[in-house]
Amino acid sequence: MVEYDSIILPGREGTLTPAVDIKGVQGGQFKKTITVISDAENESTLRVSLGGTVKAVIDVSSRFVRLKAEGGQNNAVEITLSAEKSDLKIADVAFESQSGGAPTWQAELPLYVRYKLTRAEKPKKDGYYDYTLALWIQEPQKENRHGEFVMHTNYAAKDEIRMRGMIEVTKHD
Amino acid sequence: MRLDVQHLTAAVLFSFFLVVAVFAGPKIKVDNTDYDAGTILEGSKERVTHTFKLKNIGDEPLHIKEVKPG
Repeated sequence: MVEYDSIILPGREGTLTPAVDIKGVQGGQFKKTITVISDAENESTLRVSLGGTVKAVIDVSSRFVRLKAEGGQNNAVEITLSAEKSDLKIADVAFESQSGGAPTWQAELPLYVRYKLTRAEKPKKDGYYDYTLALWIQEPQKENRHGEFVMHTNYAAKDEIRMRGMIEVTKHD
Repeated sequence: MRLDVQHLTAAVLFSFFLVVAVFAGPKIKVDNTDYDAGTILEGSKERVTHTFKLKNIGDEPLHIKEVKPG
């Protein structure tokens, strides 16, 4: 959305105020380009842009996590989290099913995922600390589940991290 | 000699109108077309805005007909 003055008198100044929605942007660059079409003799089509960089509070290396059910800690999946501070803690990790086919009552029950968070001793060049988060499930599961891993952190600015993923049942012949 | 003065006057007036005809009309000017909002910490803001100043450096009203993304 853009607010602007539609008529500007000779010798006067008008304003053009674009807004970029960055809610939910977890990190990286953004840029919005706006084309202004007017009856100006010199530039009837003028482009302006508004950009910047969103710095992540916690950077997540994986977008999708595939976990084997009943694998135990030996089959844990490791993902990397990066945070500016050295005191990141994970309060809990749950898996929320979005499966089709499963009965509703079953889909609504979140599955608690076991985890272990370890931090690299020294920060990286950019000042961020790498954390390794190992995730695993002890209990056997009846069927494959698709959904989201939801974890809560001790950082108010980013108290929840969501990652899409699935829990895979090992086939026994 | 009198004829020359008339010719000269006509020529000057003509050039004047020519100049006016060329420079007449609205003209747009923006000092900084690309604005960098810098680094923003995730979750600290929901939106980023910036007010661009559009100057009309011409001699007739400037009409903004359309503002669109892209």
